[in-house]
Amino acid sequence: MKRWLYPLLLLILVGCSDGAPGEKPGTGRSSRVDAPEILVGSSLALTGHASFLGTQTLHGALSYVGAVNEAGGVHGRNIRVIAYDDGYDPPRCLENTQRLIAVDRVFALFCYVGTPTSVKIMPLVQEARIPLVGLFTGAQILRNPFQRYIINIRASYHQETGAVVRELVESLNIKKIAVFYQYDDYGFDGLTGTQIALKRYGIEPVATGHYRRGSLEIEDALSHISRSGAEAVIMIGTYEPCAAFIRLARSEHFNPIFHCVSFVGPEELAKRLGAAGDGVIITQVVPPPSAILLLPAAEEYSRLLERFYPEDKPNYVGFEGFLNAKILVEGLRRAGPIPDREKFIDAIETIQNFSLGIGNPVSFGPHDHQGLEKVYFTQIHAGELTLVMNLKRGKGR
Amino acid sequence: MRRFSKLRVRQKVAGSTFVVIALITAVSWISIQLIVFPNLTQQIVNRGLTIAESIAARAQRYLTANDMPNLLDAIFTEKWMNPNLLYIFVLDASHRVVAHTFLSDFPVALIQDNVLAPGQGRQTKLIETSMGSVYDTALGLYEGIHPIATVRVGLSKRLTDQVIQPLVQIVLGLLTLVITIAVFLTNWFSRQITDPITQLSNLAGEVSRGNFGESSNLRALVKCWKRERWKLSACPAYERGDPPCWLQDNVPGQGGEPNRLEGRPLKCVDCKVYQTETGDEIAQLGNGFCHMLFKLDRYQRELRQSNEDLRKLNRSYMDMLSFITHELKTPIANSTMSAHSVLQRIFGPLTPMQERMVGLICQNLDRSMTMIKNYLDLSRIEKDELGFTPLMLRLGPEVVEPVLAELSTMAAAHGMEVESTVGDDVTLEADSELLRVVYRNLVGNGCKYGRPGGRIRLRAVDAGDRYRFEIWNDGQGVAHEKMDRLFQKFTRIPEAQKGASKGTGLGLFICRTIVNRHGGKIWAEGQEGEWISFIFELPKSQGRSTVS
Repeated sequence: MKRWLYPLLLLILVGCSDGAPGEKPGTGRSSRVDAPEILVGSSLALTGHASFLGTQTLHGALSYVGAVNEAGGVHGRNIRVIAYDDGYDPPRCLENTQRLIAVDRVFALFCYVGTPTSVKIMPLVQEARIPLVGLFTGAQILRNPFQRYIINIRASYHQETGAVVRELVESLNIKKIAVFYQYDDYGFDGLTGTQIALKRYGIEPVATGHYRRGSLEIEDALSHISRSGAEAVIMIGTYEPCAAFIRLARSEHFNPIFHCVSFVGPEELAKRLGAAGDGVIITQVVPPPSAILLLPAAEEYSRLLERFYPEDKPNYVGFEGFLNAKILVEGLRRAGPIPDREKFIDAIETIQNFSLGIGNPVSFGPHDHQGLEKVYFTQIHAGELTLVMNLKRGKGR
Repeated sequence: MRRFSKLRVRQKVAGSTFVVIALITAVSWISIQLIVFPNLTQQIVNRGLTIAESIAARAQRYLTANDMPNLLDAIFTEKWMNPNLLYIFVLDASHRVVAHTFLSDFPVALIQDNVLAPGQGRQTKLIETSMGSVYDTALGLYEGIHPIATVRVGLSKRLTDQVIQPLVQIVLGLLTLVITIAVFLTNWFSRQITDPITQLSNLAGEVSRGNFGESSNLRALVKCWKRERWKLSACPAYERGDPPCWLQDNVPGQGGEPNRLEGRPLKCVDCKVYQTETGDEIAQLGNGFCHMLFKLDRYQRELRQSNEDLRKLNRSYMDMLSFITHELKTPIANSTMSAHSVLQRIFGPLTPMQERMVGLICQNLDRSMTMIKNYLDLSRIEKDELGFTPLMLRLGPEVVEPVLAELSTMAAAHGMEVESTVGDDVTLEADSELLRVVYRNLVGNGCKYGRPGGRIRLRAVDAGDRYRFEIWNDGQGVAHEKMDRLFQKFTRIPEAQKGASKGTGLGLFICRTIVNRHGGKIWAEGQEGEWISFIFELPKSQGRSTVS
């Protein structure tokens, strides 16, 4: 019986077994680059309330890409950046990204701006297995769990809020800290980061208030926070609502220490606040672009921006885009003359202690796609951003 | 069916079990194909419709507002929430794709694969695409009666395979487990049935060979029940070598009452083991067999004792017979010699009447002498004292001729002509004295029962490793159907003895015993009323060292 029973069972099992799982259809993985130019795609806010962020990020990146192209490109190929405006709107970002992948057939995605927009396209990136390099967002969800195709360069919001909470609690002995946040993934991420940081000291936010993305309805949040008697307010938003919040708070004689994370658009915030901005702390993930004497990258950025976008002034946002472009180019260079997407990711992972010219080397690894870790503190004084080493000297009025 | 009936019980049980499990497998397989698979397919179709309907309301709103990014967001979100969803796309009224979830060129051919008829609300089709088999659901969006869009949702057929495959694997796994357990169980159960039966069968074979009385076999049989059903070790009666108490009749139980109630054992007197209705049918069969064997053992022992008693009785009879005939032999021999002397007128002339009377006396004395010799031979045979000393001998000069010389007077008296062709060359290993008894009886029968004035022919035929000897005479002969009785003890055939003196009925029995003792055989052939021939065959050698 056994002699013929077991082959029969085996036959049945083999007959029932599925084939090896194939690639998901419709992903369009034409990743190999053998065209005369390397196409990279970007969807970012070029119009609307966050247009400064998108425009400056793009200008900073294009300044460096333009210089590289003028110098002969990478392995003889020029880099062309296709940028679509999404107005900081996730659905438009999704539409743009689909077009970039399916129609434009870009090699990689690059310089995305904003947490909700970036989070929206994450499944698309995973499905298409396309590299996404340099996101102007510090959202934790883009970092943890690890995702092979997402290359983060700047520090995360958790790192920014962690650093500022540490300074507020340890240096200034402030325990009553409130959080003002944008009601979306970006705001939630910053709020979570702040809560985690505060928990290390056994405290919780004394109050939280939020606003809807794209609106300036900050009154309720301000009312709630001001009633809490907060000594410091950590703000996870964009420059327009944050500026409105600070200005209204000042007008109501509510003057805690205001802190904004880097995504706020520091220069634009300072410009919009004017005198009301004095003392506002902004954490930065790149050093000041004005330090052209100290930082070669700052000098290069200022020089190239002057050349390609003379109407722009060097700023933190643009400088971040510039640094993103440097990593993109270095990755393409290391990926060889005929790169493909997998090779490109592998090449990025070989970057170790690479000097960007900002006095802070960048490193990646097979399970580490977080390039920079450092957080810088700046404070607005007379409409200008000043680098501060700690918050003792920069306490507000 | 005939082949099945020839199988052993274990093979039948295992085969039947396998067939049942195979049927269950087939039924499971058919159930999966006829019930589970269509049900799953229907679920996929329903799932496609649900997805399409969940998108429809938003799609209609976004299309009206011409908000393509949010429409795209809606369909992508839906797709990411359903991992087995291959695609979603939305067509406008003119069948132009306005949003889709493909990350490559939109496969235009897909549009025509599932087109709704005018006014049709929904439709699901199984279509073949480059992505494989797809359940494509089309849901029409209408504004009044005017179509404004179609939502198309594609779910991979692989989904059913992904559900069916583990299901089939689970079913097959379970069946394999069941088969394995069933094989072991059926094997175990079969052994429970067939092993005792096989043992019973083997023992029955031994019984049929007359080996049933051996206590070792009984012990072996009983021990086979010991482990599970019998507690023999606790029974002192069994330990003594006797049958267990509960198999013994007439053994009083406690309080002096019989140990059986309506044939059922109650309790072992010695070991106090209660042994009623224990075990299953097989055990009860074994019990019965045990009981039967113990009884047979007892009957055999009783029979053996009875035989021994009879043998002793027979021997004492034979001793007495031997004694009497031996005591009679000497005076009758003397009387015979005296009578023959008188008849031969050694002591003077006789009157005719005297001569006739003395002749009758001689005749009766001769007959008595023959009877005494036969009875003596019978006695020796019955007492197993018939001496057998085979030596190489020449049959003619050492056996045949002396017998013919001895019987010449009798032959002459009957006017018989005796012809012998047994020559000097017939040599064999045999007891000459016993063979002379055989020839004396057979030739003497020829003289007595042959046709007066007839012929007696003796001859020997070489038959390879044996000799065949024939003693033929013409005369009345014996009916064919009675020839077998000729060699039985005390058999007299009246027709054969017609006109002849009565014999003892022992001669041919003695002949057969002697021939058998030599390893040969004897029989008679003849034609009633014409002739009879006694034939016996003897081996040339007795198969042992020859003493010459």
